[in-house]
Amino acid sequence: MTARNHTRPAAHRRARRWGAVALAIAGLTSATALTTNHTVSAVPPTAKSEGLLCTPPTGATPGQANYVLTAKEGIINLPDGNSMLMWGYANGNGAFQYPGPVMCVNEGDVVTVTLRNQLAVRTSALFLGIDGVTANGAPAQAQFDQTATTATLRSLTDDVAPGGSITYKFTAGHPGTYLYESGTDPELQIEMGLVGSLIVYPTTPADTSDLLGESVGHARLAYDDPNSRYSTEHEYMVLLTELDPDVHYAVEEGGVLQSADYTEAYTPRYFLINGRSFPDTIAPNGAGWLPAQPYGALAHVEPLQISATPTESDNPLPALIRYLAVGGEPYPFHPHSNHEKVIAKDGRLLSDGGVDLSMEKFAITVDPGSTIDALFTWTNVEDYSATANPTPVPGPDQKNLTEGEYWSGSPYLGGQGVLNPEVQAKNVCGEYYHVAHNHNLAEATNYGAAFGGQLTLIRVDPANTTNCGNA
Amino acid sequence: MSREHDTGADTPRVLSRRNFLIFGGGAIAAVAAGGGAMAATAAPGARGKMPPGLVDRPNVRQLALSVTDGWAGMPRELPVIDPYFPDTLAPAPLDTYIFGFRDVTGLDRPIVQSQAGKAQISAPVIEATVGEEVWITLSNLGLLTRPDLVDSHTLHWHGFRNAIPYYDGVPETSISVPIGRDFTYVFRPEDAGTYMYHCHFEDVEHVTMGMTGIVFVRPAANSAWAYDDPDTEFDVEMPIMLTEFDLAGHWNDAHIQTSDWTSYKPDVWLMNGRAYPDTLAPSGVRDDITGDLVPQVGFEHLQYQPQTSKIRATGGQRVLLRIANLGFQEQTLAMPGIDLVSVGSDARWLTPDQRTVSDTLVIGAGESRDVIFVAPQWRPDGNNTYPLFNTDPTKYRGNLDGSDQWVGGQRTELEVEA
Ligand SMILES: [Cu+2]
Ligand SMILES: [Cu+2]
Repeated sequence: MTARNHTRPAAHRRARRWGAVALAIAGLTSATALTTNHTVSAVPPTAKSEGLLCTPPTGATPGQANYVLTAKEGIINLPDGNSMLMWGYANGNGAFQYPGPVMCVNEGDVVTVTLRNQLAVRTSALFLGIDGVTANGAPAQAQFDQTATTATLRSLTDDVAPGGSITYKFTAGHPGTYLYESGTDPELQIEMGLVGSLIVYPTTPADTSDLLGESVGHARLAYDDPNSRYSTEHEYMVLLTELDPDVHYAVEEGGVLQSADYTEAYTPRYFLINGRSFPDTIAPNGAGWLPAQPYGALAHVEPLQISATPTESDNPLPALIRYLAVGGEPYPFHPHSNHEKVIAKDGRLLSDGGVDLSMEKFAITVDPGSTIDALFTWTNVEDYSATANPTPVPGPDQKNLTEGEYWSGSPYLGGQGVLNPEVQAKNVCGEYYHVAHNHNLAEATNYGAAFGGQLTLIRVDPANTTNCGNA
Repeated sequence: MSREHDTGADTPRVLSRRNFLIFGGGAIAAVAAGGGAMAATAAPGARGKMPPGLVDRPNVRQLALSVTDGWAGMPRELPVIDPYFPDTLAPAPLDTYIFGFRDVTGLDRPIVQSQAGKAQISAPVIEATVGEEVWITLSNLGLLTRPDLVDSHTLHWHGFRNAIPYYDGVPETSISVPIGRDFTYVFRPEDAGTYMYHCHFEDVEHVTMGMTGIVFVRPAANSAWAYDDPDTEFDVEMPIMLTEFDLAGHWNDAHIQTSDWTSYKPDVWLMNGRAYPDTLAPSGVRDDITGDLVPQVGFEHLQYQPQTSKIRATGGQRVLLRIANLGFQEQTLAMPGIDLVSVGSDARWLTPDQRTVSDTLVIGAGESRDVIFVAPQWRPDGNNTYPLFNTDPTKYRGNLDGSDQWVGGQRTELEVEA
């Protein structure tokens, strides 16, 4: 693309993995079909390949949701060939994963989370925005190292020594999107990967009506409010984190076990969505070459379509994007192609005494430690088509253009052309791709190399097609 | 004071007082009205020459932008940053390597070509009205200082609703424009508000090098409203694009060095492509014969930064600030003692329940805000300037002897005129 090449830090770009990404998008195959090694993936092979992937609670008692998290060490892969030592919350006896399991519970559930510590340091789980958490039966509270004359904050919540376990319990009082993370030396431990998400679904009777009152079977409310209706087939997580490799190298060398031991200036070089950076963000859930990074971030929709008289082919429901962020600075996330309607922040609907305060935004700034829920649709407003409604200005010959690998070769949704021979085409069926990315563009890079980092794609398939995979 | 309401998109737009303020003080505006500076705001059919290869059509606003490299000038008071600033390759009195857009609407092809190496920052302000069709022809003139860089460029209208990839300007998901080639982007804006545009090719580099500008859309109902709502009426308006420059990154690009953008650390913070005190200098103009930009006398270092940020109004006038942030940082601006009413955010009208009234505003990277304030009455004692500035004291460089801490930062002022 440019005459310079961004080779740092690693020269070993893995061609194998790029090929796998292309195949994964092209075939939209299930995650396990692509597994070419015997590494145990952190998610089961039946997992759906796209969208929010819940880890269901164990135990069958209604109203009870039980989880076991195991804090342990593991390795993640970055798209430039680098790999990084991490600490993370694994699901029960499962493999290391980053981020932690997506815990999905219902409003009113009594949630029990047992944390087992297999790290060499004390650790904990802090549930942001959740009231009334108990630890081993007593109200959870900050922990201090005390001497006769001083008290030093050790943890923002009850923590557990290496080898031990601790049980947190709370009632999921409000629907919404929540973060859980280490409250123990969070500056280091969150950086190291001890972070995950908690989704609380409302108890409002499953609302299966779409925007027209038609029953479509996959409508759901994000909150106890009809304005939060979305399609369960299009529910996505965007968990934004960052990594400074120097911290991880230092931990790996054994020199650092708490942030006080780490004195160099903090400079993050990798910026991740759901534990991956682009192009890994668009790989399927459970992709075999990312065994410890199970969560993809490709959003995949069809155009919004609402007919005056409802038809079978109508597509009236928005997608729901659940944004979460940890780190030191706000991430300004910019979805291309359309505004998103921000309906909730930190697990609370944006409304004031019944007044709807939701807001359509083209840049969604997600503050550290906070969450935002937003609805997304894309409408084929112009409905350009090669024959009936061509673009007003005929495009130049393709030889006079630089073409991109996700480009179909046609301006028209569903249209396809042959790309210039040097382009490795990844388009399947004339679908549209739009980027959604951090607009601090230095953070949409892999260690400075553009078109990476906190960037993912929104894929829009032509309506009612059968040749676009499982959309 | 007079309120001027334009009559509609189909009439050639006469530069009104509002337009004057976009592009500078009264003196500049007089030149602009005669000489066609900032032709990017030309109304449909208002100009004689269309972009190459296109025909004149009713209700189509046809603009031509070129993209190339060039040199800008930071404040004369700015301390040296060895070896990055001033850049020794720069032709005097300029000092900072940039990539940027230029408005070449109405210029003949050879004149357009002669503008290679003469990019400007901030990019030309583009104005459109709901119901119009906007054609923007982008011509890639190449990079004179870096002929080894064969980068394509694009135009991404940031925030355009229901965009299609073909006209979204993301090279990986559609097409980009190679050196020596043209491409015409087509938009039919349906929603009033303040947006922005930028190149998306090697985005972190091209954006921070200066390929950023404001585009705003007027409602069809009334061009003196910010949105389709009478309580967004204004008398004067001022677009303000916020960006930052890491001067090492600019020097690196001129000197064939690679930057690690994750080490990005700004040295100067800009409004409309200028740092204080240059923000207050008058706007420059385009000479339609040579095609080049012409600086105001005494401000020769601002030849390729033609947009002022100085706000002029008479007491009681309603002033609309269209603020967009294409830097990489969140910024907080303050105008002490002035009630800034937020009427729009990210090109969406805010309901009365959603509005805030404050003398500060926070704007994240990639966001836009429309705020309206009422200019205070003119005071005979001469105290008629009101600063609008970034509240973070670390986001200024300060001048050489430390006597003016605001140098190199985002600071401008309102001057209330009699
Ligand atoms: Cu560019
Ligand atoms: Cu943008």
